[in-house]
Amino acid sequence: MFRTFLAAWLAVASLAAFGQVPQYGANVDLEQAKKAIAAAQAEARKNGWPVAIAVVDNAGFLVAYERLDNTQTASVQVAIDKAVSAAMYRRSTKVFQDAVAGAGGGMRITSLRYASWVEGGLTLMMGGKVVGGIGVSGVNADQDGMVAKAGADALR
Amino acid sequence: MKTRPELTLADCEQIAIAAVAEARRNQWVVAIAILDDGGHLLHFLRMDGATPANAAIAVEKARTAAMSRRTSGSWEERVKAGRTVMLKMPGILPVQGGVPIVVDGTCIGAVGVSGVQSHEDERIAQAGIDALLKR
Repeated sequence: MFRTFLAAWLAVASLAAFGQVPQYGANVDLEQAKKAIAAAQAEARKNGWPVAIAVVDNAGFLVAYERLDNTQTASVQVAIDKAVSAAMYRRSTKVFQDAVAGAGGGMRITSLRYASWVEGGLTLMMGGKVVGGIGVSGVNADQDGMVAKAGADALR
Repeated sequence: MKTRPELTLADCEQIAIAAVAEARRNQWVVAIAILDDGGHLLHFLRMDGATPANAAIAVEKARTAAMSRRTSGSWEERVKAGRTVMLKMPGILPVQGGVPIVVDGTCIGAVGVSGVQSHEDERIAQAGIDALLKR
């Protein structure tokens, strides 16, 4: 009797733990991706920031992408890398940036495949579920982050 | 000193709109990539229903056309004509669907499409380029 109760209690407790982790939902579709990019682009233009903006699905594959005029060449790939990291790890790349900046054990992040540890990548959420990732690169990392946030907020 | 034309984001949007229109006109679902002549992504969209593979392939077809300044289909023809060694050319995807954008004799980028039959992919890419160059 007690064993049954304990087993049931453990099952509920572990369920509660899973409940705190975001769930993957359906992949972001093209219309939603374009909406996010448009909002991000507006933020970038408002500040005169030349950036590349990428939106990927939950598997890390491109759905939509734009490079604003005069964006530095390297940012083409970095924007995609940030989006992939945010989608695949279900957390902003800033979280990894902070962990790496802390040095010591935080450096283990740099061994993770698909991870990017530069701010500018955010998970895209709709209806409380993860639908993909948005990545921005071209100016300072915190500025990239502001552009990405404008994009992510457009879908929330 | 030489000067050269350059693709802007507005140019890419014009290409993409025309390419998508061509796709929709035929009820085709594709991924469309636009790269500059250095092989770097400028613009990309994947229509709902196009696969992750289409996304990757469209980019590679465009890169092939941009870097080699010829259609990716021309590489497919070379292989078909018997030069199987062309399968080993670095950075070349010898599959039809990538078309270079040439302005005043200068290649300034390329469009790559994947999702339907290769000759149809190329038609979509060409429709996008024609709209930009007003042909």
